[in-house]
Amino acid sequence: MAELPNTTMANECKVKLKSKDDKIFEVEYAVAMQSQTLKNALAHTGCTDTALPLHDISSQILAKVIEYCEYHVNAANTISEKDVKTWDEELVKHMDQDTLFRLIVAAKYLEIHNLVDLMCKTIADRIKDKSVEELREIFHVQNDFTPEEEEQVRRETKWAHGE
Amino acid sequence: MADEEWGAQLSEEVWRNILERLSVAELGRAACVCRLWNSIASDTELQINAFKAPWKLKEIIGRPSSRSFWQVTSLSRFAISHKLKRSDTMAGLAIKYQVHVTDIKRLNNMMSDHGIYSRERLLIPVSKPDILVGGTCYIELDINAKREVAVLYLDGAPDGKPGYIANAIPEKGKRRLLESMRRSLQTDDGTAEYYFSISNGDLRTAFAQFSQDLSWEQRHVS
Repeated sequence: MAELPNTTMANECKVKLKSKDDKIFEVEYAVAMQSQTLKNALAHTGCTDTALPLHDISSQILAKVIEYCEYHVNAANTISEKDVKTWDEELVKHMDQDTLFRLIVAAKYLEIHNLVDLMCKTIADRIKDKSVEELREIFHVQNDFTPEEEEQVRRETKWAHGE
Repeated sequence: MADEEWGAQLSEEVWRNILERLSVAELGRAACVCRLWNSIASDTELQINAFKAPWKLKEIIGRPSSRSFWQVTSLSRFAISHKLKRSDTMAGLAIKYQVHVTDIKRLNNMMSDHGIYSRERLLIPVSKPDILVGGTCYIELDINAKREVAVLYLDGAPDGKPGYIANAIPEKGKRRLLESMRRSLQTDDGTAEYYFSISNGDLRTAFAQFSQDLSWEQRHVS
């Protein structure tokens, strides 16, 4: 198998990614390295012209992931932490729940830890101030308690409701 | 894939990453959503971290007898341990810690101001949360307050730790301590055992209590 590209080659290497719906995206090597999964894959294949297939990620979501990684690769040394934080917040501000979930699944699959954390923080922020019923609706969670279990849990956490 | 299925796609690990960012009250509500959320939100480590977070506490040592201890976000959970000196007065303490005398008395179940002379230490209510930042608290069942409190020692680690819920002192160490106590107090085994148990093995505390009791006896027994 081809060896891991040395630094000069790495700078010129372009990584091709194929989404679930067969769209090809081309990214810089450094951008792809933000993903631990891609990093490991490329360690095996070296710099290759073959597109890496990402069977579970749609082009819409992959575009967002790449947008995040491209910004963060450049931001690493040049942009202040505060500005990076603002950019992150803008990215997720109007994201619907469905996109958030798809993005988090993709980020987890690609092992982009910063993106996973950003997604988790965003979802946690949306949990605040919501009632139990609202939470089930927003996150499409099934109530799998038996009536007795639910009553007990409500009783144990009585102090947390009705604030 | 339909909207409804995405929630199920998230692994427990991811839900944990999300729920561990919640406050104590939010965790309480999260525990009612479904079984998975319940098992994560009920995790002790998660609850302790959520308890510490609003006060920016560094560490909590000791564990309460019930999990409900972690489920309250209020300064009433905390107290400062003040080791009493002969020169202390209730008014002086109130000024020093910027609290009301009545609040100190209430916390320590004191009927009158004179209780100050028969005690080793008083718990002082925390009025300013700043004092907790970066601090270490010890969970104690205070004999006077008659409830569990997260205690802050302003001058570092507690000495003797009266009432501290600690691990049991290992038997070998206990015997040595008991012997040392018997010699220091110049008393019999039974008496030494008694003072050992009420001081949780701390010689200084035992000695102080012993001399207090001795002088009380001398004053009241003809």
